[in-house]
Amino acid sequence: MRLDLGVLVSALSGWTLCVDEPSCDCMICVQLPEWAGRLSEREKVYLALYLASKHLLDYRLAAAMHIYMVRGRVTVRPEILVKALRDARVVSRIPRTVEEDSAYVWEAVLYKGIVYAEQVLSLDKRVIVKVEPPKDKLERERLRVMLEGKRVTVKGRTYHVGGLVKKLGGGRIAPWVYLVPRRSLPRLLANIREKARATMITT
Amino acid sequence: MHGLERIIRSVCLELERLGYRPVIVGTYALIVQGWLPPSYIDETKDVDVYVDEPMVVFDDRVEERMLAFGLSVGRSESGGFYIDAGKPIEIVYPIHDFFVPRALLKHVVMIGGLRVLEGHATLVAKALGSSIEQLVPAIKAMGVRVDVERLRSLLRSIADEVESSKYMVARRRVEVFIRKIFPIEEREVASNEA
Repeated sequence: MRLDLGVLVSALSGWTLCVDEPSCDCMICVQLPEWAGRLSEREKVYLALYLASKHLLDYRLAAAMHIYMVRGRVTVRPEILVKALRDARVVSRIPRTVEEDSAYVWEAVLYKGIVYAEQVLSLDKRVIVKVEPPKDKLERERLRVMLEGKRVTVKGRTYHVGGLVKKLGGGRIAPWVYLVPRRSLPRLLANIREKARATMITT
Repeated sequence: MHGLERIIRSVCLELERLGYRPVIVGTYALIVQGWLPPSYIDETKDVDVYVDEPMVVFDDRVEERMLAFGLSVGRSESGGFYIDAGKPIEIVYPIHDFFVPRALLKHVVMIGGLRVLEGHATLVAKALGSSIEQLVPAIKAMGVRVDVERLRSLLRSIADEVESSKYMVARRRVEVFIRKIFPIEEREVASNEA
């Protein structure tokens, strides 16, 4: 199986990780030991990410592993991780950035990775956005449709127009108050600012 | 201190009700066993309650129970639970490959209804994360008889469970601790060698 690491950490876009594929052109190839066959697919990916991070000692890979763990709610007992270090094989097409290989270095890499991952994960959290609507009635309705969406029927066919908040993965919680993922906030602000119809208050 | 003890007991009880087996580890484990003076609590960052279950981090019931109990709960940078009890109580769990080996968790003593990691096992567990030589003066002052052989055998028991480089570091730290706590023995060895 293959995993695009850019999905987890944008700094790793273009990096692919393959698990248990005999010959491939991926950035990092991980061959798990036979006993790993009893693990689920998600556990295998997590294990492969751990082995890749340990191999390259790259904090971005450690961050990807942590993000994968939190988003997928998947983890493996530490004894299995340690056992896999002995039995698995990792091949990468990029050199290790850190020369020294000791317990201290890995501790530092993992800690940095976790902190970085938490920053990325905080973007998934939702924030409350309060929109100050324009005074003009027509303008206000246009903005409302753009944000909340509206069903329009033309010649018997129904279309859905607008609905930016929903498209961004958010929702409406009160009139002109929305809950949107922190990640989508700049896009929402840009869309509103373009039309210069509203000011926003973020809490 | 008594208030802290009461809160720790409540936290452990709540965790047991949720099906976990919490064990007190770290410096506080040494304090409750009389290896370190009670005043040593001021030297510690927090009180560690270890739960040997990596999935505990995703268990929202833990936070709910603690909040229902009237405790203030936050999250540490690694996602663990921090409970405000004057001195913070951290519920630690295996995070990736940082953990207390199961071979050490077999050595648990019951003190006042709490599961506490035995003194020697606590020292070995601490050595996996940081140096332990700074504890020597306080342990000596308490008149605790440290069993060197027990320390070494506990260390050997975790050899298969932890990564070799980490094991080597822990072994070096334990040996430094032994040399500091028994300087006479060291001198005897040196004279024998001569």
